Amino acid sequence: MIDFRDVTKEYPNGTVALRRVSLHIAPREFVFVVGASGAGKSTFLKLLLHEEIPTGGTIRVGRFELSSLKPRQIPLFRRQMGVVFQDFRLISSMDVYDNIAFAMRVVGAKEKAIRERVAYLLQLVGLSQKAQSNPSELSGGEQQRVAIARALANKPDLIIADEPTGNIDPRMSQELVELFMRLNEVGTTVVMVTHAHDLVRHYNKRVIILENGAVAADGGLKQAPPARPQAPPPTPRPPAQPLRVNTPPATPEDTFLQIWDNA
Amino acid sequence: MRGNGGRVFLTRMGLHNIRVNKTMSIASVLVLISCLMLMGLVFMAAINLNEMLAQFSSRNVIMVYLSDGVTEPERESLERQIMRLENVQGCIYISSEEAYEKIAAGQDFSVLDGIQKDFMPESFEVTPLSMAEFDETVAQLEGLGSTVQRVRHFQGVARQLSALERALTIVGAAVIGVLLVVSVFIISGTVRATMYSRQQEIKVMKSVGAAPSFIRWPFLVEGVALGVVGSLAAMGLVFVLYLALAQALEPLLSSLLTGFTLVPFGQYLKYLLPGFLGVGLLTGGGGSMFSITRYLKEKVYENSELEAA
Repeated sequence: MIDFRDVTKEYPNGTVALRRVSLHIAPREFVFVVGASGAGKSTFLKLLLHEEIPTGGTIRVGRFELSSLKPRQIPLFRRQMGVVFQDFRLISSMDVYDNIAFAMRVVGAKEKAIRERVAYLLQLVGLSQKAQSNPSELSGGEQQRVAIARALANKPDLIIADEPTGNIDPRMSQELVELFMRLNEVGTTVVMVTHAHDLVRHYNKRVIILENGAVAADGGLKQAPPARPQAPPPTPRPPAQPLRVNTPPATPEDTFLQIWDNA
Repeated sequence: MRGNGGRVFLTRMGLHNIRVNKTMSIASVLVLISCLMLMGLVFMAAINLNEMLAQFSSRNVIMVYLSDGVTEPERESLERQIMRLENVQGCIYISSEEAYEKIAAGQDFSVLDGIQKDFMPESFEVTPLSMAEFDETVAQLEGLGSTVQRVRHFQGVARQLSALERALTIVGAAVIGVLLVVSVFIISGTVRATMYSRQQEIKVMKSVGAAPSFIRWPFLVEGVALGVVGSLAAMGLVFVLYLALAQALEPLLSSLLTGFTLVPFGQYLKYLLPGFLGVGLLTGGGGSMFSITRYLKEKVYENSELEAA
């Protein structure tokens, strides 16, 4: 699904945000991306969204090779992914229904398809009763669920969540991650950037730790993502990939926790 | 799954933007109206000046007014002298009564109440052969002796009208040019204000993969709608103002050039309406496009909390 090969991003002011980053995220995988401020997480996301172009290396997302992406292909490229932001980015002048429908309307979907899809998504995120509510009447967790429903509106293969639990309480955070897990179980690839260490510890999924623009560690804490019953991914990762670190580990878990605590 | 629903929705969104930015929208339309009104009035003034010039040119005659008390033999002698001049094609005698009738034909009779029919001087209407020697012929006529009281012609007036038309065109074009630029900036400012308040929507549109043409659409609708409303309002105002001016100026113009009336507005509607709509569409649409280019380059992640690295 996502393939970074030797990706470097240097900004015009000389800041090197990512250095020779290579990573592969298979379809249907669930990955946490963690790292301290300035570690390169935002640049990683910007590169994924093709808002920035790498100064070195190549990036492939789905069927798109980003270095050869033409401007007119960018909208098509972005339709394969749904983005969830920390600050929800809901439109305050629209109710919940229209916020979700908006994502479909602006890509030219038919009203009938919009009605069916929005009803399904509202049910999926448990907000069917709040379709006519204004975002300001919802709790943070509910607003983020609306944002997730909007991200799913155009049936993306990939969900990119940028600190989705950053503005909500811990109980609601767990519910949201459960929602992402359910989406992942039905086949959506999920890349979640987060600072919520306890959530990452709780869900035993692959973790990519960025540090000073490089991948400091990449792997699972205890086990790799479980094998899924659906069709196998075209380029599967090794099923139980151990944690890889840039310095020799004492034990994989010790090293992870050491980097983690510094992050 | 694709259909026209998106365009309909975005069109409604563009029209809604106008209501949201009421003050700026009204300012844009007012500037555009002023610009177009001025343009329309200058255009109609130029048309009328041209018409007057054409009428003056068709009256390339020289009026030779006779002194009081000129006898019939003196008058016949003067007529022969005039006909002997090289550049004279024809010479028609107009008696006092005939002159009175000519004036009376184009005037309200009450104005002439109490005036004797012989109050106008006798005259000769002299038609020159060539306009190139017009000034020399006038000088020769003026030198024909004491039987000639005054020589009058319209060349001077025609020259003044021509100069006035040129000045009007130059000043009008300059003022209209400045106002058009102002209109483009004001409309682009209005659309920019809309875009600023709708950055969130633009970013959401970009993040879900809306095509640039879809993102532009509501703002283009907003600019074009302002342009069309401005041009139609200006058209109506020019029409009303022109009718009022025609009523007020008619007697004055008629006395300046007997029988002259302002050209009918309806005759030029077919030029003015598309012209106004064209200018409205160009300034409205152009202003929108001018603004949105910058916003289309804005990043989904700008202003997000994850700006660092």
